[in-house]
Amino acid sequence: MLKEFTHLLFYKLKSNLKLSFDFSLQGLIKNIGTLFLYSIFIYGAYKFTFHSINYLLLQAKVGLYLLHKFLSIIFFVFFLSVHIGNVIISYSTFYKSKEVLYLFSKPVNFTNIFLLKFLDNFFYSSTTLLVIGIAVIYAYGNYFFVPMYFYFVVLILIFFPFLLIAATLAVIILFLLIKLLNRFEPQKVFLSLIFVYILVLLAYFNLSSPFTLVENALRYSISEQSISQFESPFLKYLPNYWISEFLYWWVKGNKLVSIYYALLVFSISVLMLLFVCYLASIYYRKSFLILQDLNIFSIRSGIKKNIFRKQIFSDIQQDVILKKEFLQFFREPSQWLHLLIMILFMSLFCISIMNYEYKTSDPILKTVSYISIFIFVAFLIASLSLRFIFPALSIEYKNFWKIKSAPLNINKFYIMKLFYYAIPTILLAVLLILFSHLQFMKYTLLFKISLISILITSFVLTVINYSSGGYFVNYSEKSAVRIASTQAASLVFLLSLIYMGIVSLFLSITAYKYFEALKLNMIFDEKIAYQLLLFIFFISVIISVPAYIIGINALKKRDFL
Amino acid sequence: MIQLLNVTKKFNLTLAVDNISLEVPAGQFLGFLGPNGAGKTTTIKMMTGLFNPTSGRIVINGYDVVKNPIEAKMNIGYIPDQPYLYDKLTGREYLYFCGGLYKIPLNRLDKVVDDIIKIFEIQEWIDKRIESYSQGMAQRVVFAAALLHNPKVIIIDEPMVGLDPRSANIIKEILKEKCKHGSVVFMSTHILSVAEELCHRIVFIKNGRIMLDYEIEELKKIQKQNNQKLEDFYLEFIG
Repeated sequence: MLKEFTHLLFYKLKSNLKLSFDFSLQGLIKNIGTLFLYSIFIYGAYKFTFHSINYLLLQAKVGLYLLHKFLSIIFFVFFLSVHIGNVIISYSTFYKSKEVLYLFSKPVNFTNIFLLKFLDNFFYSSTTLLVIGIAVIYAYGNYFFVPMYFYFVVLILIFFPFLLIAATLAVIILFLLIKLLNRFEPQKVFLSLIFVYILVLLAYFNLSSPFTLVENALRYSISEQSISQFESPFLKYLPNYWISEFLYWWVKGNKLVSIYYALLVFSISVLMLLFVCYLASIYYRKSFLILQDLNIFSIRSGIKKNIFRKQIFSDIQQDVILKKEFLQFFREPSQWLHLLIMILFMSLFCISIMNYEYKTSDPILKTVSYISIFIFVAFLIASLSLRFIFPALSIEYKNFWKIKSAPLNINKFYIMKLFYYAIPTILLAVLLILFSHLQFMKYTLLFKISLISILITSFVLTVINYSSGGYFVNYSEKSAVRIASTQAASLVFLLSLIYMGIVSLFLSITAYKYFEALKLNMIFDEKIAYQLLLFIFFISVIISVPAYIIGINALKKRDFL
Repeated sequence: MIQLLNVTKKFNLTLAVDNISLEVPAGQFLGFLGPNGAGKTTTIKMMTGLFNPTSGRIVINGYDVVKNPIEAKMNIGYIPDQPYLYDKLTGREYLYFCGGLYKIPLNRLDKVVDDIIKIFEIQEWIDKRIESYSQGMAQRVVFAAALLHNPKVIIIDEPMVGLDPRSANIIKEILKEKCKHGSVVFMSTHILSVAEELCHRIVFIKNGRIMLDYEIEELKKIQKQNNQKLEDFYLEFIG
């Protein structure tokens, strides 16, 4: 069995390596660009982490324990996003990929097929996380002057095992889902799953609210360790808790407790992997066959309602393309389910901060509070764009021959599709700003500036993702999730982050000057705000126009192979 | 109807199509034959706008494919070798989608779609999602979609892949009928019997160059003289 697995792995690696070395101009641009942007990003992530820790410990004086509680919350969100991403991507990797269909027709052990695809999935989606992870870990380590071997311990005993737990848990959920799909209606199963995730999220934030933690710490002025008495014992069973404890005890100098948590994470991940392999040995083939029989999304049933028979736009080409996009999206569960989950997360974010007001007159703190919310909204939009807009052209897949050979102007197609994606994205961004900025509504000018900025930012993020998706278009990959996890996608995401950084910088200057004037009872010169907005506009034009041109040219000039 | 004038296609350093010229008049059924990698699909993809020619001109019903792509494509019905379709759509939705791309007004499209569904005998599963179709079913939908706008030029790459004998027969009859009514059929195939049965003219391509170009009667004469079947002739040609 092992020999067979190494044989499969060898050829998998060989083919992946061949694919990775692309010496074409496009490949070269992609590789150099990635290297350059990754370097900037690594540096940025390092600086950001370092200064954030510095700020929290020295200026906000939250103390080591509270700092690690905040880290624990971040790890939880990170864990959940990796886990949900894995549930969705695992479905297409384990059951829909051509490679799996091919291997299932060969005398290959099913557990080996499973393991091969699991590793494929795991390493495919972990590259970007690893890069970000290394920068953050290095900043953390450098701040606390840890020895070199700390980084190896973190990578081997903490980082990869943490991701592994998220991924193996995803497989267990997926198997469970298929088992339930065999008995119940798909809609009920999916909605119940979403409901469970929301419950988990709400329960977690109820038990571990950062605001309550801070309030307790401030109200009782108690020592670090005794804050732990306010913590729920349930939290101690979560991997994010183990990691924050590992870090906390390490910097406190108690290596023994620290290593205990590291070994706990590592051994749980190994056990989970073994358990999942065992599950796969008894259920992977069965689940594969169930899905083949089920044809889960009732694809075999007839659909009588034909939305093409009612024309919305006077231009029929525009009309049919919109409808095709709509049906393609809402009949693909991995698309609408993921969108639904993301929108639910966004709603939770809005609800959680809707009524929260940071009561301070300090212009710096007020600016930080204001800009953090703006950045978070922009970050959500960037993630959404990466996941759904970057693959928009690639998911035309090999079916694109029909569009390319039809009497349809490619410029028209390109711009039509761009707007079909841009309009809902902008609307969502505006809604997010409206609900997340409620506490800033009384600062009318600032609120207006936020709205205009998010309008510009969300449009530019759409253009960047859509056009880059056109430049790096890949018609041979059908799964949008996989397209959104490619090296090119990471590159575009980094570019989006840089753009967001620039916008945030201009916005924070405006916000700071505004809050400072407010504190000093001075009249704020509105011209400053509009001038800075104009800068944002120019930067946006400078970024989006070339991106648009590069995308459309690539689509027009490149042969459709 | 179709004019290829000194058409060349290079992929980096590889010469896929080497300076070919060809003229196909209205009403002619042309068989485009050649071994694998000869340049058949590349030529077809250039004619349908999927590839840009490196040099030369392709004119479809008076319109240059590069200079007037919209007008040229309006005259083409293209059937590729692999029936890739938007599989989340039903067959009927796909036909409406294609009709829209070719700007067939909705009031006419209803009837056109209904008629073509009957012709291709696909009523039974046309309202199911394409992802549940077999290759033959999908191929029939591709044919139906390609003929919706009544094109003057029909370009087909391997027409019989995945089709059962009944479907193949329906398609052959439709294509013959189209030719009778003045359309051009440009068909690439490996099935020599189909070429022999349907074509008025056969063009052999090898290494990107047109090697032989015969009217079918002329070819039959040569075969008779040498006491050869088309298959022998073809095998001798490809070496």
